[in-house]
Amino acid sequence: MTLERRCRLLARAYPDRERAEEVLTTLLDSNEGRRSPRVADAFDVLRHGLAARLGSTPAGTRYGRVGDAASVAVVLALLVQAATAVAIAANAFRRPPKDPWDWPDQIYTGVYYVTGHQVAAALIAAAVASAACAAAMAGRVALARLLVLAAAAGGAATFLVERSLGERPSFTSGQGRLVVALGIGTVLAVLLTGAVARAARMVPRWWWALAAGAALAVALYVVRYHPHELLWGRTGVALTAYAAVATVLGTLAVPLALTALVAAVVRRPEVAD
Amino acid sequence: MQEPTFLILTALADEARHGYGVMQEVTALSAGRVTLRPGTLYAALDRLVAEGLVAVEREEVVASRLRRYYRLTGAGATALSEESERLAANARVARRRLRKAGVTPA
Repeated sequence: MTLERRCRLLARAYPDRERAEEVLTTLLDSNEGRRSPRVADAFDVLRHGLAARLGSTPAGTRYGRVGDAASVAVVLALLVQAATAVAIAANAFRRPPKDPWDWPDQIYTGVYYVTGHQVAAALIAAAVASAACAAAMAGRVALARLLVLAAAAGGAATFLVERSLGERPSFTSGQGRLVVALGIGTVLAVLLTGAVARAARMVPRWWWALAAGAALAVALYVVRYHPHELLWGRTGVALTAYAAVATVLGTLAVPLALTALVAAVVRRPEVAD
Repeated sequence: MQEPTFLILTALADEARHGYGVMQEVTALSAGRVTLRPGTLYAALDRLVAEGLVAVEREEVVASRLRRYYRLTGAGATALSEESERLAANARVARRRLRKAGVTPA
C-alpha cells in the first residue's frame, strides 16, 4: 500500500470531503519520503476526524472537549452493548433450552440483558444523556434533541421488553404513570435543549455545576429512596427494568453534573492540543 | 492565548500559507519546540476562523491536491499585537527582577 493510499484512508475519518482532501494534502506533504504516515500523525488525524464525524463540537470551542468525550462515551457504550449481545446470544445457542417453548424467553433474556439490564441501561442512558447535555451546551440543539429522543426510545424499549418477560400482571396505574412521566420528561427535555444552549452562552459555568449538583441530589433522593412507594405504588409491581427506567432520572443528573463540573474546571482550550 | 495559537497567528502575519506551510513555519518559529500535527492544526484553524482571527484567502488545486491558504485578518493582527505586547511586558518585568537579583538573563 502506498503512502497516498494510507493517508487517504486516514483522511476519510473526516466527514467533510474538502477538509479530508486538505488533510490528505498536508499529510502527504508532512510525510514525504516515508512509506507510511507517522503514528502520531495517524492518531492525531483519526482523533480529530472521528470527533468531527461524531458530530461533536469543533475542537477548541468552550465545550468542545466535553462534547468529544461524551461522543466517545456513546461509542464505547454501544460497543460494550454489542459485545454483550454477541456473548449472550452465543451462550443461548450453545446451551439451547430443552423445552422449545423456552426459546423465546432465552432470546428475550438476551435482548433484556442488552437493552434492559440496569447497568447496561444506565450506561447507555448516561452516555446518551452526557452527549445530549454537551451537545446542547455547545449549541448543537438538533443533535441534542435527537439524542434525547434516542434515550427516550431506549427507555420505552426497555419497558416493553421487560413486560414481555415472564409473567406480568395487567397494566397497572403505576406503570401508566411511568409511561406518562417518561413522555412528559422527553417533551420537557426536548424543549429545554434550546434553553440549555442559550443559557450555556450566558450563565457562568460554576452556576451550571451548582444547578447540576442540586438536580443530582434531588433526583437521586427521589429515585433511590422513594421509587416504588412514591412513583409506582405500593404493589411492588415495579421490578428491575422499571427501576432501570426510573434511574434515567438519576443517570440524567449524573452526566449533567459531570458535564457541568468538567466544563467548569477544564480550562478553555486554545487549540486542540 | 496559548503558545501554539500565538505561533500560528505569527506564522500567518507576513503572508498567507497553506496547512503544511503553517506547520513548517510554526516549527521554525519555535526552533523545533512546537510541532503541530495535521488534525490539531486544522482544529485550531477552524477555531481561529470561527473567531474571525484567520480567514481563508484562496484555494488551489495542484496535481489534484487541494491547498487552502489562510491569512491573518485585521482582528487577528490586533490580537497578535496585543498578545505580543503582553508577552514583551512580562519579559521586561522578569528581566528587571533578575537584574535586581544579580542574575544576568541569558
